[in-house]
Amino acid sequence: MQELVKIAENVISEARRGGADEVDVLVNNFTNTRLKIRLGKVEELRQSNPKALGIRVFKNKRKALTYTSDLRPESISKMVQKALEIVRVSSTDEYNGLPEKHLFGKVQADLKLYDPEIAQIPTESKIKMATELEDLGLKQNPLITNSGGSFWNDSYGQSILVNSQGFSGAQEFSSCSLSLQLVAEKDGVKQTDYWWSGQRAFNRLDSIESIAKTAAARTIRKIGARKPTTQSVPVVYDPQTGADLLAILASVVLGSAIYRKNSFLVDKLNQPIAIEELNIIDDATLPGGIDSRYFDDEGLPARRNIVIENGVLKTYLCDCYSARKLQCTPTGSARRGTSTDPSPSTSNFFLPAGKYSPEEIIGSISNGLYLTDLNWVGINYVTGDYSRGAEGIWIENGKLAYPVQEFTVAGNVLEMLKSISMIGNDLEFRGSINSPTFKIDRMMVSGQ
Amino acid sequence: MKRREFIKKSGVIAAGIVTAPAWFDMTGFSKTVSETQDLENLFNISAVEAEKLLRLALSRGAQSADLFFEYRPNSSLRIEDGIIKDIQYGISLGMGVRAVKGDQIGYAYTDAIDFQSMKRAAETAANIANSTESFKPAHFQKVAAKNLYPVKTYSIDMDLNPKITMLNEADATARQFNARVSSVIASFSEELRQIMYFDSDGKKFQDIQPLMSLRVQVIAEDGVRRQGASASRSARAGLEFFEKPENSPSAVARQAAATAIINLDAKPAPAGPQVVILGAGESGVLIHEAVGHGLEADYSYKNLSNYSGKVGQKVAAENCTIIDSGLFPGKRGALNVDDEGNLPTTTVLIENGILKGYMHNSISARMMKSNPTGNGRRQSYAYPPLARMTTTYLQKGNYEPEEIISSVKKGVYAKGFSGGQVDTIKGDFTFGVTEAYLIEDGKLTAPLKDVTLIGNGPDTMNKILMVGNDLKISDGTWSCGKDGQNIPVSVGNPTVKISEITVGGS
Repeated sequence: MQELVKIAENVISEARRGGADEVDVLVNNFTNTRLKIRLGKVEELRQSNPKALGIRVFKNKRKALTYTSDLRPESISKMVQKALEIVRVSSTDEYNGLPEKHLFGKVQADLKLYDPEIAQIPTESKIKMATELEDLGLKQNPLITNSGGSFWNDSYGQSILVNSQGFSGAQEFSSCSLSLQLVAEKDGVKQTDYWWSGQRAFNRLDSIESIAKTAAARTIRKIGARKPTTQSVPVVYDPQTGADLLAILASVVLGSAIYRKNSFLVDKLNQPIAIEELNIIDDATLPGGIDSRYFDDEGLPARRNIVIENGVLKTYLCDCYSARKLQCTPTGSARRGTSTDPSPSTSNFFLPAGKYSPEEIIGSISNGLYLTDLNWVGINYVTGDYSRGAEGIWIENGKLAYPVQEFTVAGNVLEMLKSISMIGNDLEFRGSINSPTFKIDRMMVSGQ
Repeated sequence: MKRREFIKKSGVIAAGIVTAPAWFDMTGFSKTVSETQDLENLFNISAVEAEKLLRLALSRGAQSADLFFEYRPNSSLRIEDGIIKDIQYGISLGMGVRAVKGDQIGYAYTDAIDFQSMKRAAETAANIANSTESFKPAHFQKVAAKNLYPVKTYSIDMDLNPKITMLNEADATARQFNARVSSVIASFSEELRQIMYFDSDGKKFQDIQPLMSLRVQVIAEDGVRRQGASASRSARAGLEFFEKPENSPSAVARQAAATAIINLDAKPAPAGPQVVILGAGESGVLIHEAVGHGLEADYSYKNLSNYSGKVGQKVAAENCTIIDSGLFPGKRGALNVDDEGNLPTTTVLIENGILKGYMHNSISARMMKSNPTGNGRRQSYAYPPLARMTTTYLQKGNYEPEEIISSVKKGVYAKGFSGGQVDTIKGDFTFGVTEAYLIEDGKLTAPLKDVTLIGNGPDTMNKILMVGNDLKISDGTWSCGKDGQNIPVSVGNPTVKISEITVGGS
């Protein structure tokens, strides 16, 4: 790691000597394994140790970015020169530049983002876990006829950020995951679903048995799916589809989307945009959080931001550029890869748990839809218009009655946020965006 | 980098297509490449060393192995608020080693192309097999390929000014188009993918694949309403591609601005099953999703496609002949040679409604005792090749487009598309429409809001009533995602009438 910090420091000196006003360097160095088992055989074992370096150069309020995966000194040196060359043709922008010095910092607490055990797991053990997972999944029900594969993924390594304003930081991350996709068949119709568990630490993964059982149950419950009739009904979002709705908010609450007007939240700051019971939090300091970090990709300390409080939009999430442009405070939300400029992004983004059990929420509906899957197309971020391909289970008399497929749900996100009526108590932190079950009073289901 | 990968759903189940943001990696350096230049020097690899590495990859009983080298400069520029805001330039360089036994793959890659690092990758990949027998690589013979994307001068390392001029032209045209245009972002990107390949069957090839893209995004507002739209062009070509009137920065800007202005007045689309006419070109997304992914042979031989085992059966209306071809010169989907040394072909997937065949990579061809079709593609040296599409389209029919529209009393005309998604196992697909109009009494009337169409592959393909004589291959920035790998593709379609498809209106 010290070697990579040294490389970054050399880049900064060289760029400064070449006339740059400000420079920052991001170096990523990760070790990844991806393993796929299918029908008991290793179908793919992929291993790698990608390294890459990105250089940002500012001169007279102009900016350029260069990057390379080739870390030989002469190649890096060429990239420094290239940055100094192309920065001259970019435009002056008063909002360009590194963060002001007083903004730099790091979270001091141990956020438990790196588990040294992951690097020690032998390949044979990974093969054994994924094989067992698939085997257990296939045995759950005689209608399960095929496997789309059982996957083990892990990644660990460092991300290093050094800049010419004196910030220097290194953070270590690890993650691992197990997932399984199953196929069931009845009366010539095939159905598929999957389940997974992913964590920063190996010992926090769900048990192989519980992943296998959930994957099987989610696949089996789709058998016999019908196409629903076109009608307007109450819709219950399960935690996965709930997270999908939050992901839309996560895209439009960003300062970059706001100044580009590519968001239905433009001009909505400090206004009520949702029911009073709704809060949304973005917390980059959550211990063990999949998207937690010690500092953001501009060197600002990670923090917890309350985005929506009692239904009121409290803040946009900003990197330094969008904050200057919108005349607000950066929220420690800058993210980038080595080949991209920083831009704001959410971290662990979630809707806190409410008081209703999922059964109570489903039980409140005599005729409606329990939503389990959404396809990704069909969102207009400028207007909030929403029309999505979906799958789910029809609710009759307060009970899950039969599976439904090949239909869409439609509405407008701003209207949907104001017609959420029951928030579930079943929040779990499974991914970077998490939601409990909730109900939306009325949406258009388009089917037969 | 990889930290987020496991939260994604798409790699596991869905295969989809999106219009990519105009962002690519580009390169440059002072090294100027030419088509005749030998890339062995670029990668510092000799035939002797390649053979050594392949021997290592085969040393534990793998039946075949390959080495894939890639040097890929990328350059991109973006104008926003009327100023050149982002300029980026970068290089991705590396090599991947694959060892194959049956349909089992060991894969390792390295960004460092010194012999020690490559040796380590070869040894890691070899571990997919575990026996004492070892095959020997054959002598290398160069694969002879035509050049489908000849370019006079590669522009990637040239002066940025002509590209800045293009962006300024796009920005100015969009702003002048209408006073209600309030925001314009235009971006240009290009890459030059230089690849070299050796395998244990003795195949060796190199290719230089240019790719450039221009994209314009426009926001329009009238004080009450706000709408956005985008338009793009992309090709494996030189800058002269943008000199054609229909691809000029002004044309792209006008298209984006016009759509945003029209959509300010958009009405909610009807809900439920409707007669739908798909306009020529971008609606090839339907063919890509409803048919294409399911006919990628790696899904088929694993019985993970609703088209598995259906060769010879009727899976579409009789007026449907569907083709995948890597041979369209200069298209995003064009390939001189695929990423495992097979020459691209024109593959008839469906002929007059009958399923004829699949798109293969080497492994699927071997597993199905068929011939490779030149569809083995990978995102980069970091990934093993999969069976992928190139340019996929429905062959033209006999009807004039006007004739098709005038045949509909009430329905939806869908013209612009954002992308789609399919579950290849059951065959349900969706695609997103970004520009649509109501059809009333055979005429296009009110513009409709963004809407999703949903259907099932063979079911919808059997409901195609009329096929137009106006086949168009879209030059949009289509990028296809499968198993975590994104690659450039082209889609095409003539005007098509579907008797019934579910429209996700509100």
